[in-house]
Amino acid sequence: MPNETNEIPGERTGGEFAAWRRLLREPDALPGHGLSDKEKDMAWDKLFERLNAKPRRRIAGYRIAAACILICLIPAARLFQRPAPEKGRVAADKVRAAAVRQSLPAPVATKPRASAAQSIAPVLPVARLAQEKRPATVRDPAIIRSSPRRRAPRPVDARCPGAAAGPRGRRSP
Amino acid sequence: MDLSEQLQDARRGNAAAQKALFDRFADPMMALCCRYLKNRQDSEEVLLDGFYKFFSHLPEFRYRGEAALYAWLQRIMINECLMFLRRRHSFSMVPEEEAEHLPQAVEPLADLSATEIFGLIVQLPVGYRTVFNLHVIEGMEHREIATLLGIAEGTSKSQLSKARGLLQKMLLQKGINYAKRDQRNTR
Repeated sequence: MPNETNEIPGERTGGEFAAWRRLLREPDALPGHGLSDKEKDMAWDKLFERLNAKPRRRIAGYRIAAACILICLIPAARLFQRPAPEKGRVAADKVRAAAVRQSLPAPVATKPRASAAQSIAPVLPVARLAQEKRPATVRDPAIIRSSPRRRAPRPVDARCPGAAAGPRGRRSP
Repeated sequence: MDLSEQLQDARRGNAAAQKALFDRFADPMMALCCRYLKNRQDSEEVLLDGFYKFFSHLPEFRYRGEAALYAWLQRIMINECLMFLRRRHSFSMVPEEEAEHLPQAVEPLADLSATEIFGLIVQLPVGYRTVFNLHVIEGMEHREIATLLGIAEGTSKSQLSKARGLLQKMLLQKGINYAKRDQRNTR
């Protein structure tokens, strides 16, 4: 309560209403305007409830707000990202095509790495036959890229000249 | 229990200490709210808001005596009352020039009881009452009041002047003769 230790701010203004100020600033100036014991208890119950419930409510509110933001952001993000994959696909195709071109065999044909079948070919004629009859396949450029042996020179099969062209020939307009 | 100990316990969230503080300060704070808001239900609502703020910000408060604590709590309540008034009412402020025609410097009587004074203040319109309370009872300067209420300094002065005029009228209606009382007081 305002006492001798602290300055009452009201003292700064003129003394015209000093008596009123002194009277009304007294803590027990208006006993009839306070709260009855019952009212006080009820008010305290409400306050106590609020003091304990408020933080939880705030956290829940933050969660709801975050959820709302996410709900709004996801369609917006999709809307803005929709044209991007096509551009990306074209660029990826270009990159892939360049990679395939780089991985094409050099004009000078080199000997293919000897496989297990080839190594035993002179010994087993059946294996030799199987090697000769194996059809030439057009390899998928993605497989070529991902393969650790993609830079290894491949033999050019005379029976399937399109295979040399690789995925360039398959590219859709 | 000592007040500082009660505060320490209340800071730690001790409900008994908080209740003791509430019981101690609820009555004067309720009277303060009634002085600003007139309506008892509104005052109770604001009182709870104010005490909620008080307990929420108690850890930030540095105890320097009961008077400081009381002043701080009073300030919280006044701010809550003003916020409430701003939410619910539009202050009916009179233009500055109108105030010039109003009677100046009413001599309020020192021997009116607090309840009588309270009854007079509560009858004032919201704008006059707020400025009168802030300037006369809380002792704020017009500049502070203007900043607090978002009005011009002149408007605050004119509101006070109007409030004085109205109080004078009300006192006259009650049959209180200032001159006689004044003479009696000065004798």
